[in-house]
Amino acid sequence: MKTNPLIKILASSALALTSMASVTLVHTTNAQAASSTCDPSLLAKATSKVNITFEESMAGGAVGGTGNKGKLAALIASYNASQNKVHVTDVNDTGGYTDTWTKYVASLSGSGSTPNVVMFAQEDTQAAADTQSVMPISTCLNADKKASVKTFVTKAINAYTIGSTQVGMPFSVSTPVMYYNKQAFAKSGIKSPPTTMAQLIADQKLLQNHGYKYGVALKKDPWITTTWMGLADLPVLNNGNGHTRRATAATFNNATSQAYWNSMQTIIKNGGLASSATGNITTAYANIFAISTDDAGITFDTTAALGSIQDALPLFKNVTLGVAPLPTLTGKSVGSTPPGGNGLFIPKANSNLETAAAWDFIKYLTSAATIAKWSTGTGYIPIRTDSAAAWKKALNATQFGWYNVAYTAFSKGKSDNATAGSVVGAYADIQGDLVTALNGLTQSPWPSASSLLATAQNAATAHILSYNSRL
Amino acid sequence: MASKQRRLAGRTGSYALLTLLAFIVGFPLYIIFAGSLMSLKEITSVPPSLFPMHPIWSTFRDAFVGGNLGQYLAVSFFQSGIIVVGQVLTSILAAFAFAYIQFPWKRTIFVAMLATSMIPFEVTVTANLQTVAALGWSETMQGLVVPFLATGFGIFLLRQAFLQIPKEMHEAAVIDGYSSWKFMWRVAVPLARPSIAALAVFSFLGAWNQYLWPLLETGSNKNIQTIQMGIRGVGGQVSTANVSLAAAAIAVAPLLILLVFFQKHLVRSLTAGAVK
Repeated sequence: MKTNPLIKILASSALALTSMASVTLVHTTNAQAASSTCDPSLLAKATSKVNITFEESMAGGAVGGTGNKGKLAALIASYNASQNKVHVTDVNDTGGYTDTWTKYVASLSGSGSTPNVVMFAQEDTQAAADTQSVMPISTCLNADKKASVKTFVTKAINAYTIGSTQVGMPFSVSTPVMYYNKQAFAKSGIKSPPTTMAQLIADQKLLQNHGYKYGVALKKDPWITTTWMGLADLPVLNNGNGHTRRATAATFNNATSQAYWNSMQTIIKNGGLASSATGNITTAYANIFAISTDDAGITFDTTAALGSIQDALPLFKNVTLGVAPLPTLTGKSVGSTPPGGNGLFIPKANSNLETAAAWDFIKYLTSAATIAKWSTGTGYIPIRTDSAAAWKKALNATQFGWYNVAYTAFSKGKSDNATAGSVVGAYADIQGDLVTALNGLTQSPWPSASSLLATAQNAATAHILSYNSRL
Repeated sequence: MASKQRRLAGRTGSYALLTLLAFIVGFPLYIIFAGSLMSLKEITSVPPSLFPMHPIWSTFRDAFVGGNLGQYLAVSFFQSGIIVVGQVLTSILAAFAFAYIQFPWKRTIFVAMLATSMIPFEVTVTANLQTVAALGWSETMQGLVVPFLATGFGIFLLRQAFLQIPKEMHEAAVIDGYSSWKFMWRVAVPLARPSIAALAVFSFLGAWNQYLWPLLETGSNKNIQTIQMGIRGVGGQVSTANVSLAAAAIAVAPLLILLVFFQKHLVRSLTAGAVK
């Protein structure tokens, strides 16, 4: 049988394509125009509109276009309409911060789609700096005589500062708070939200005695623990929580953290709910749902959930929402609440003109007026003290009561490295170590808090050292 | 009598196991569809509701319209369709070559080709991104589909199917004056139809469920974002859990329909050669 030359060619082509499918040749890409300076004056000299992209991770509600995604899109549209020098294209990553980070890192390989402004979670600050691909915000602040961060809450700036360099610009800040059901409190004879862990345990019993199965629903979220550390003015990492020098060890195993974890274990042993901090909506918010189903009267969660909780409240006539600060060991705090949330970063891949445009856009997004708008209804709290008045005016009394709990916890109190939150490259690994320990803490055979924290701390230190050794 | 009883017990045990397995596979799917019809209160109830007491069909509309799922579905159908056609065609050609044509280093090349199936996609993603960028295909449909137009698994599957065709048939074709091209299309491909159908289904499943590559490749081009990216943007809040589930149900529906239609081919292909 003769083999048709055509079939030989086609078969060879198929084979060649197979090899491309799995192992492709690495091509060298053209070097991108890298920005070396931040010169805001370049924008005034631009002869045509500068087009830039903004990659962000805000979630959006499908219903009526609500959600933080829609609110951010409105701000971007408003910026585009307000001037004729820059046009911003919004690139929303539906999968959240992880997707934005994954895409950004992949773009550094030269795939040609590095955004001009990018949103990262605060905890990615060190990793972003380690890529050496972002221009420090300090560079633009120093170059722009009109710009200042004096009216920002100091902690918000510190959260993005390593050494004396401000790497990113804070944009959204959220903190964990205590949510409680006022109706459950009234039914159980609880006069006011607990301010100490001992009161929390006592209130759990009262709630359980009045039909609230769990009494208290706890989320196995390391963020709650690190917030307690901030409230006690204790760093979770050495070297100033990673702010003064690169962190080389975890330091979260101490008498304070052990006391908090002992209280948490007691709550779970007494029949409280220990819900996962990850997963889909129904599992990641199981603690909040336990309030709506009258299984718990108290839980802790982020203020960023307040917007959607507010949307869902009309469905649950059995719930009258109350928001209070997290309880502490003594009812007082010598430190303050560290900020979570996200910030804005300028990639160095920009041209100088794109950097100038990116900086102009960042100044708009973080202006007092924009922050006031952004904080209204999103669950995020103002990062600027000069936004607070307009923000308060835009909220009704009930909403202000809720949001102000977080704003007060965030804006008042001590501002130092311990309360600025940690900066570390191995953040995700450390979170994993703490989650493993929290899983152990909340189930039989009930290992001691001290042993779990010691193991987690050792594992976290090993992860930090491993990360540092790979730089 | 005893052996009859043993057979009956064995059969009962088999069915019990199959029922359990079917339940394990089917329950999550059921929960997606049931949950999408439930109110938020039902979804969050403890113990969980298993049946929507008052089905809310509007969640599907909210997900489809609010989440702009129509566009994402169209992109996914187009992208998956091209990948299926590409993989089937390239697999037929390459598999036929490996099964019937003699050429130097045939075995080595076949092993090398097979080895490409062992490399996780995540390992080659950066190299693929760079290649696609170098070709000027970043954020384009070509960039989305071309790296998947051929598959080592498909070539292996069809080569095995071609090898099962009796030698006599091949010899008869040669005597009748058939060229390789004619034999491939008129004899080998029709006989390997179940395996080709199975490959098409596997290809479609793989393409439809892709997430990482579309995420990285589509960049800022919203016009080529796929359904898996689209459903992540639907809901995402406590108050819209049922809408998120409805979006997931919409995304999974085409796969279920496909499996129902191609179930016979899939089973036939996977069991081919098991019984001689």
